[in-house]
Amino acid sequence: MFGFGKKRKPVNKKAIESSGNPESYTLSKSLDKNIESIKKIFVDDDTLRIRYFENQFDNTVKCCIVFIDGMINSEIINKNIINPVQIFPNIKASTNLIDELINKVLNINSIKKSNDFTKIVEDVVYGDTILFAEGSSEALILDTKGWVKRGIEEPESEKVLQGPREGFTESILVNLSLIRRKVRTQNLKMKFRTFGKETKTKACICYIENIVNKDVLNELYRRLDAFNLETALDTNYLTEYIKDARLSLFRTIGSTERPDSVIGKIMEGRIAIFLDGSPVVITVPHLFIEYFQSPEDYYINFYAASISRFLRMFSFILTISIPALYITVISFHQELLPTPLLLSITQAQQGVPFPGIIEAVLMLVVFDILKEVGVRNPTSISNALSIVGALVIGQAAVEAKLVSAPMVIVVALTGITSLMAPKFKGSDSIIRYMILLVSSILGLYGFIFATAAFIIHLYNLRSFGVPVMTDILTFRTQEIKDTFIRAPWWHMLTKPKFIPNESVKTESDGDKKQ
Amino acid sequence: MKKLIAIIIVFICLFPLAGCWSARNLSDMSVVAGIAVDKGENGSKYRLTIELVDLTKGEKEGPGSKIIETDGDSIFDAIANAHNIVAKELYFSNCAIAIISRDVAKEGVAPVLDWLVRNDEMRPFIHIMISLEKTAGELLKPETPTSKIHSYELDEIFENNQDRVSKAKMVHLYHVINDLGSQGLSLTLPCFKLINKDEESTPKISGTAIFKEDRLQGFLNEEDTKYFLFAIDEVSGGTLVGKENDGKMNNVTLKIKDNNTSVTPEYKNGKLKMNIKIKTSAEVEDLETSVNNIKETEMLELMEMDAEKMLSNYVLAVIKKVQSEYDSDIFGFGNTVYKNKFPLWVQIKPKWIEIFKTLDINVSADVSIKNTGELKNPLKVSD
Repeated sequence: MFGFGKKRKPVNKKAIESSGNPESYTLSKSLDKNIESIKKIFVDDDTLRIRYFENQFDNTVKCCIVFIDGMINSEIINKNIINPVQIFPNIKASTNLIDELINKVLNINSIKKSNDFTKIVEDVVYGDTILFAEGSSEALILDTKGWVKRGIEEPESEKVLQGPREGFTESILVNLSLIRRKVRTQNLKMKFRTFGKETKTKACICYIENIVNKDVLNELYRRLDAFNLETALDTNYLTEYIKDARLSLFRTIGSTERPDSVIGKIMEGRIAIFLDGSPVVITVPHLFIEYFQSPEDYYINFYAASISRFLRMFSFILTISIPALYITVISFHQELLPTPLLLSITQAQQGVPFPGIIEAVLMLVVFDILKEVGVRNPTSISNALSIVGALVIGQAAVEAKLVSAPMVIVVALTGITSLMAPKFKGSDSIIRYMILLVSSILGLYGFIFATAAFIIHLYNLRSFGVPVMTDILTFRTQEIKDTFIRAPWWHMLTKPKFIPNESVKTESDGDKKQ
Repeated sequence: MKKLIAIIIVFICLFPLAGCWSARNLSDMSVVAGIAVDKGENGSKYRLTIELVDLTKGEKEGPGSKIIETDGDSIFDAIANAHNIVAKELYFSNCAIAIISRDVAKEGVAPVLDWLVRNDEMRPFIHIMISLEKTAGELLKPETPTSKIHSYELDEIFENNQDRVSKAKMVHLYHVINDLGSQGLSLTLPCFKLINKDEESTPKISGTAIFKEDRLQGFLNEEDTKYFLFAIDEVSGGTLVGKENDGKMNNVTLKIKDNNTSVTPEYKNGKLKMNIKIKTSAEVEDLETSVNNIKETEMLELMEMDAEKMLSNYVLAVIKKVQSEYDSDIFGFGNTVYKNKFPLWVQIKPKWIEIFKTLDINVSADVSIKNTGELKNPLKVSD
């Protein structure tokens, strides 16, 4: 449109450099000059829209709005900006025109004045509309954000049978509203920051002021300062920057897509970090036990919740150790098998060309491939896939004597139990391979060695100064209340240990006195 | 850097420290179910009959069994020679029984047992038994009633015998080692023989073999074995059948629920005496007599009295028999003295067998009948 002619010119480096930097421009009193500056700043950007208009009674009142197409709500611009300025009767072009516009004319709730092009550019690309007026060296930044958002849906990865079905969306303000709506206290603090030198993505650090551990908060700010990427598309960009033990297989930062989960965590003294554009919210500190906690635990009967939590932990142990234990037993410690089991396994192994370890690795890799294909492809393909997986791998491979039937059972059990602890997101599979390889060389001794190595690593691991194994392997009732079991709500008296002031109660003092 | 070196050293140490690191495939092993030791022919010292589990038959039929025979100058030599016949490595961890022939047992079982104990695969829980047939290998060959693998059938017969009939002493390899090394206690081993039925023979438990040191001396028959087991407190099931005609015990069968025998040595005026107290609880299982005119309580008392009398008589008879016929203290009386009156044992140890042969034995039995099953009285028969 406006930049049409320029666009045809061959682009040279110098032109881009000089036009792109808003800091080299200053606002002047001339409307045309300002628009010229804006055009130069946004050269080659065809989504920029510029609209001139005048008051119908006094055509010296000249205005121009600038916005980015697709980021704004047209209705607000038409009805609350253009229309009032055009039809307002008693308005004069003067030096304080801009204040009169704010006070009398514009029907916009959030208006900022600015004379800084850097600030103006930042806001216009985020959906605000900039109003320049003839004779004013200040511009108005009008909040007209409006773009298509995804609705609030239940997150696919964290479904519950009973309980709230809200999930975060990609819009940070919607996400924050989901939190604010449920935590109506002035102690809920939400601090905005931006990440990414180019993307300037908005992020929000959210905590409850009188519960949060100030040391953890300061440490978090310190680490966030180190973030210097150009883009921040997802909270995982931040996670990898601020994680303790960056190479560890285990998480030291939690993530969730559920508002109820985030609220539960910030109410326990954790800090949540929201990032615009990502439905995943990260929380710190993250304890090991959080791998096994599900929001649903808190919405159903505590007996059932405790049992299913136990099953999740048990399944994790199984999923990392079953193939390794099977290999050690069949190739090192055959004497551990009862006679009938030994005979049936031996019989199944007759004619299988590979040693146990190769069989195991092959089958596990095939299972991981099937799992990956299932995740990356549409549901209709996944259905076909499961048939191929079940028939080809399960039956045909055994009948063709490529693998033994017990190995198929072992892999199936490994696969099913790995789905019981989905929060590991693949790191369980790496742990499984590591234990399996060590065990296949050293037998049960290697298995115990590998397991011990992981346990030592876990006990060494800290998340923002809090040991991740806090409250595991203690037997004081107040400390295991939310670890191996989910205690009834009336039994949860104290906040978790990592909050400095242990006397903080979950119940209000008034309730305690009664 | 130091940390890295430490980690590398730990990893290097892993390999020599792991005691059992050599992997082997299940499909390269041939599982041995049982072995039988006979005297060798053609100049070799032993003939070994080995029962292998046969896994070649396909998964639907399940494992079967194959018998191989091999000769050698020692047990291990014979086993090594077995690899002339079998391609896969013999695997002994699931070996359940070892049968020793009479001829071998007469010359001593200790040399045979040495390899079984020394070898790291063989479990100390395998059953040792003596064949009453001409050779030991014969016992592994015939079909057994419930299991395709004959050794495992014999093994199970043993495992459950004391709870069900109490007609064989359950002897594991480690029992044999303990008995051989104990003072004042002679080794006994259970015996098997073949019974013929329709030209097919089946192995059957049959009595006990008596040893002096490690050499076979003679046998106790099945009935004697039962009362021998009472004397050494190895009964935990089985029956007591009234056979004498001197009381109401006739035609009454008691099922033994629990038994506890205690042997206490008594030394008075330079004379040693053994007090054997048998405490048995039982229930009436089978009442084939007509005692309609006796009250229930009286009937139980009578039964108890008769059973006590019978039990103490039979146990005493077995002890007398062994005292008079053999030079072996199979009841472990000497061992009781060794444990309870050590200074005395030191004195009498050199001439223990003579003392044993003239030892005064006092047997008292206490049978209590706990219940009579689902009937109070004998079945009523009207016209």
